[in-house]
Amino acid sequence: MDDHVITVLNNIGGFSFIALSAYLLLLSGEISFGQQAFYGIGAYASGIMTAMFGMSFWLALPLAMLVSGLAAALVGGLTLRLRGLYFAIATLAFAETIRLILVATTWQVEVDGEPVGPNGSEGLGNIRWGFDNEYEPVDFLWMIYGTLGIVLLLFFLMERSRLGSIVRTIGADRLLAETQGINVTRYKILVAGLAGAIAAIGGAFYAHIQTTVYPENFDVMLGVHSLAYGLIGGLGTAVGPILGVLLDVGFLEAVEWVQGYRMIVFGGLVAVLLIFMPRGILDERRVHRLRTMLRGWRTETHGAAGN
Amino acid sequence: MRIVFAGLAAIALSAGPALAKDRAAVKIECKETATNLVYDCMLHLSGRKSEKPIEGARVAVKPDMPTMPGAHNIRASTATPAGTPGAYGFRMKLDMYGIWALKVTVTGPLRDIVVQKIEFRK
Repeated sequence: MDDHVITVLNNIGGFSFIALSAYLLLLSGEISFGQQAFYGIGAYASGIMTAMFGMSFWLALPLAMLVSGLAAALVGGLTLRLRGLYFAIATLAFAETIRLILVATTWQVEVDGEPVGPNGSEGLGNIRWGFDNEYEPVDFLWMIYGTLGIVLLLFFLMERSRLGSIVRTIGADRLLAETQGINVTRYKILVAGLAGAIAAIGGAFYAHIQTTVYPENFDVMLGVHSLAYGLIGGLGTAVGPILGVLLDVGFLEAVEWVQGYRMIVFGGLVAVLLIFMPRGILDERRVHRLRTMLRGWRTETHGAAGN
Repeated sequence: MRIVFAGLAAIALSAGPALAKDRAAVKIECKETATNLVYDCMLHLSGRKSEKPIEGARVAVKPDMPTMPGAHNIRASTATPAGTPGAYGFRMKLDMYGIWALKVTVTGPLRDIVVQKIEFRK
């Protein structure tokens, strides 16, 4: 496969994690403009662990998810009383705080005679685990899509479970959820933590492919995109936000003349879709229709096989 | 349980940082051509410790915009030797002006990755 195609696919896969993270919060009725902070925490935490302390990526990844998940749960806990626009602004403020902390942080150790570690606006470089172990972009492709497959499977299981119903109920009507005896506080914190951990996966992969990350990688632009992916792709299924990523990175990439104007085209696409499809392309109604069609097709196939 | 711990320890220690003995020092200078956003660049490659120019290397340069990570998927440019020792030239077309991080992958006599942030103006 062409190296450029692999890079595009890796970016689509990497963005899918932050899109799924924002999607999970949207399901619970919260709009977050701050998921880029957890993507950044994932990138920096995993990068610090592999570059400064020589850990394997496979150990650094779950630890980075844990760090990011705990930070997200903390933010979720602190912002419990906030709703709607106030919650969105609080998440944006938190993300900007994290970015500015990264700009102000210098912490370096010497590894083989080289200073390694976060260096303020110069970022965190020398994240060479993949390079030193001779991982090619195609190896990262398998790693990203393998992990994405596991995360998607967990999403499908969650959406068919009691937890999925509870999250959607809270998202639809918080008061109704409370009257049904659901501990909304506990579930809100859980969802925030899970969303943070999922975003961290994308950040960890990004850091190890790029080998250098900068604080400005995690600014509001990434947060707006992550939110838009779910809104474009649809909130009916976890495939929705991935469809949103595909439309942005994949489609806009394929149409060459768009590339210099991609933000304008992307903004227009979001605006048009939100007018005509407020809950995205794969909204709950379309997903239900698709599932019914699929079930009918399966019944017909099995019936024909039985005869 | 012991096997689990042994496995975890093996994973944790399997891939410590193994920085190359000498690292690459990279200096990049770019000049916009008559076409907007198309740049002719000259890359000077030398050993960081030895300070000697590195010849016969395969050099690829891939730009990424830090404020929009992964959003601009620009093809990597291959830099070719440009006459003087350690000098490599390449052409690159960007999507927009601003600060870009150029990831330089060097293989051949020295294997390294160096990332440099450069501001591209009109």
